[in-house]
Amino acid sequence: MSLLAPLYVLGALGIGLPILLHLIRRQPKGKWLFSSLMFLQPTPPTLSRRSRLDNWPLLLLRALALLLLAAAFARPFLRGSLLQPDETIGRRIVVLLDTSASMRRGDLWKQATSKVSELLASLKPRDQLALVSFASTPALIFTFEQSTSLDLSGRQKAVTEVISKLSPGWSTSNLGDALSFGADLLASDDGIGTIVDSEDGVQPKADESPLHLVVISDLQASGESNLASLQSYAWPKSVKVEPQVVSPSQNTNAWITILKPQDEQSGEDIANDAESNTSPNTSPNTSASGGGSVASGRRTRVRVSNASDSTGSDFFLVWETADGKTMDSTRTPVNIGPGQSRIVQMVEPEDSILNAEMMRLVLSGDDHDFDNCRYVLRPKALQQEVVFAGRVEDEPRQSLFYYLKRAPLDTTDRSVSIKTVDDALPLGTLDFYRTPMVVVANEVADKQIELLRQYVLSGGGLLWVLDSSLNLDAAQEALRLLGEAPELTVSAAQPGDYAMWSQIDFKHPLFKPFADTKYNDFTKIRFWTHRVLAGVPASWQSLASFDDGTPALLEFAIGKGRVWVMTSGWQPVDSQLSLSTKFVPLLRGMAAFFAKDLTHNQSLDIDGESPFQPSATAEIERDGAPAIPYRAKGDFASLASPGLYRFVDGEKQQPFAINVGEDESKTQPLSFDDLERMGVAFGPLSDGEQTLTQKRQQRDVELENRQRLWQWLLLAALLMLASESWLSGYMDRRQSRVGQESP
Amino acid sequence: MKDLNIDPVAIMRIKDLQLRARSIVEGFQNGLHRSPYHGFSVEFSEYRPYSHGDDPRGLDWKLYARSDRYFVKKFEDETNRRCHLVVDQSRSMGFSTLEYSKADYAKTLAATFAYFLSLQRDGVGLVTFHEEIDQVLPARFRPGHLRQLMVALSRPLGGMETKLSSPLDHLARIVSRRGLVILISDLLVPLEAIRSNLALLRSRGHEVIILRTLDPGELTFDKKDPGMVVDMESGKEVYIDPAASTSDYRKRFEAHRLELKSICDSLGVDLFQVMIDRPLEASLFDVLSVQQSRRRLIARRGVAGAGAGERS
Repeated sequence: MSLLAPLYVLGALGIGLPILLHLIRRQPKGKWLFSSLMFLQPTPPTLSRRSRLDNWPLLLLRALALLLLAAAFARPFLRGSLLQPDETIGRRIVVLLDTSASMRRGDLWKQATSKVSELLASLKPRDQLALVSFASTPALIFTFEQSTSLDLSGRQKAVTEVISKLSPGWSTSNLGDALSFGADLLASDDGIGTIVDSEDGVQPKADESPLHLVVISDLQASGESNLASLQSYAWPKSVKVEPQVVSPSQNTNAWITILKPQDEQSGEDIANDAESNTSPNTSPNTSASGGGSVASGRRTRVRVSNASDSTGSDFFLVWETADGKTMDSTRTPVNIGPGQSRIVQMVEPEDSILNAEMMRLVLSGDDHDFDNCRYVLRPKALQQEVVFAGRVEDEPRQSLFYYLKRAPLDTTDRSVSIKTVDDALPLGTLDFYRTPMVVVANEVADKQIELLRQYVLSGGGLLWVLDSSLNLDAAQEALRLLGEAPELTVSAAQPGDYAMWSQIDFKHPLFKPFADTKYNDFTKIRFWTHRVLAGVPASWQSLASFDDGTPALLEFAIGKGRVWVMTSGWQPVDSQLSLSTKFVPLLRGMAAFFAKDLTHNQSLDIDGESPFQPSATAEIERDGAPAIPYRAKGDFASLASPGLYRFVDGEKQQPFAINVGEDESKTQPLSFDDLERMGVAFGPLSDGEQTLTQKRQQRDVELENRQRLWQWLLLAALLMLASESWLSGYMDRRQSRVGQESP
Repeated sequence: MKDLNIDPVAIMRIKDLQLRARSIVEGFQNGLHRSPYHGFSVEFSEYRPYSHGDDPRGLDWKLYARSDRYFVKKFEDETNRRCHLVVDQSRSMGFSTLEYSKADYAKTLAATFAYFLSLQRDGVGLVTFHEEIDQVLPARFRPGHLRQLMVALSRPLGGMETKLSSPLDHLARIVSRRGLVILISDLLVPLEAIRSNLALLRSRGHEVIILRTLDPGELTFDKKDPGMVVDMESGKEVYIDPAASTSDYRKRFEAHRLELKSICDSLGVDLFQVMIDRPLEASLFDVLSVQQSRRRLIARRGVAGAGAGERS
């Protein structure tokens, strides 16, 4: 016999009430003041008939009725009429364990593993567990299948073993991906989730077992991409997240970001820099960090940021060599308030002291050093040469080469020299990596045209100058061949006085630097003579035309490379171009047209994609470590730690640095509100008892409903009350009869 | 005469104690005009032949002029007698079955005596007490003294129980000159201590009058229902069934009264049992008539204190 509402049994205590009232000593009602008790003797209390119980049967009947009522309200039922169903429901738990670089802070990893151990200790035999480690990508390291195949202790042992092999890496954490991965794992994994109970054949449905996602992480705010994937993810309602946050005792964390030198930011800057170098009006874009303009040594622009929950604000920056030697002379103090960032110009050590290609910039003064070291490349200037194939005139006014030679084409990471070849181009040596541009101003043999074509195809830039000294027929043939334009004719124009450039395509990268109204005036450049190209194919793009409508600068692409055809020379015999301020930027733009491909992405995030083309011969080297073959893009992921590497493919060498992602440094804690906004549902890790109790209660209610014992009890109580009424009535009548008779 | 008395309930409704006293005394005097008695203290007492050593200030020069004999007039000294009112202010005096309490009545009585005596240019002093002496005003006759006295009387009841010994003892010690001591109290106390204190006062030559104010309810104890009776002084509660206790109460009360009477008789103390529903001037009259008769007795017998006893 069990009770559905056992508290109602307390109502049975009500039977004590009348007895209690009877037995309480009656306090005299009246109470009055009197001047003196001198003459009063206290009267001993007398026992009256009222304090004795007279009607035992009545009292008993009433008490019984009360008892039955109380019992009826308590709603008793008989257990055991149904089979006891299986009472254990396994929980399904996915543990997301953060292995991002920020977990290297302090004792966070220790805390995290101990949290896993605690969770393991609280596991019940029916519980299922899967373990997912996550940093930039989640990885399932212990599956539900493994969990179900092992018994409890085996499961605990296996997970402990997995955890012991695990350690935080260097990747940036992506909590959003991990959460959706874990939730998918929990919500979709129905087949594995169902427990087959062989004993009684009852199978708890998958949706009955509580789904828990335990996130063991430092829950850092990280960057915007952290939760981005949750935005488009519909969170399954049944999955509850329990965050178990590990936090370090000290919070101060600062990090550094190496900024690109300003002159590499775009081709525009290159043009502006060059222009300002030659023109007396110094452009405001020219800064101290501009290539070569600072005599004291190269500077690196560094942004130093401080996490918003930091307590410290004084830090130091210092250069170190790749092998860890500190350059104390470069030690720079920086003061940044919490949540702020600041750009610092770090002077690089003189080359005479340190002639290293690779360096690192180290920040000190904060509590966590996982992100304090930034690997920086100081690439040696790339030796490139622009090949000029044309006649070298002695008279400067007639010579293209004279002006070309004097155009400064060097940048911070490239030194470009001009080489002239007389008649025959050097066969087989043209490599766009070494030779960014070829200038042709001569008759070219057919064979050589094919060579040039190969060169352009592989990614080179070819400038074909049709100056006044050129044999027009030969040039026409060569261009027809190169540009596959059989209709093309080249003839000399007869300008009356002079011609000017007009209809310049300022959207084109070559002219984009001049798009500003300050620089876009080309009318001062006069062209005394020029060639007229007719029958130009539609695929050729006119970048500039003369004011008579004939093309002045044409561009067409062959493969990866470009060919520019200039219909006038720049030497003073032909035009004023070489004397104008536009000349050098234009040439620099052509020479550096493909240079970006060579120099960018020298510093990579550890989770970034590989910029290098895998090949059968490619390898990635690191000092003091065996070279890793680089056969596919995926091999890049094996570079697990930040450092300085070198990509080697045959002759080609490209050093690069791998650094910890900047987002990972943002260690201030993530607000749960943000997660909730993304639809993530939180809920504590229940121990399963609650669900069990609910189920039990449900079954009890069902049983009670079926048995309805309370109705019988209520009926009995009513009977008791009826008989009580009858009995008291009877006794009253008898008493009154006796009363009438006796007087 | 009874008709002329003012209803004490009406008197008690007068808030001001002095006004109340004046109303009573005036009413009393109105009645007194038809009385055969005319005061006691202003009255001429006797001529005594001057003997050597007497204060020559007492010589009656008019009589000397008439008779050429030296006589000393004795009455002046007696009229300027000192009277001390000893008023009980204990809690038990607050008991009442009427509209006013014993304390109100006692105060009014004291005020009446004070007013009356001050009209006769007698010095009136006041001692109020409960378990200890509350206030002491020396017996004086001077302007403002009566007012002071009234104020002192107007103070509310203070103490818990009644202890007669300390005020009486105090009086005996501080009042060296013989005088009249009027004790107004309910005397609901054990009597052993009273005897010695009264004896002490008497031995000092004071005349002592006790006005025992009692509520009619105290005399009869006519409660109907059983219940808890709370002692006003000690706060003690006792369960009393009147059916069983009333007769016993009356018996004990009577015994107490008789014992008190015998004590007073033996000490020559005038004891008046004043029921508080009685007109006040009647009490005044009682006291004065006793004084008068005693005076006559003294004149007749030359014995002080004889004939004292309870009158009511």
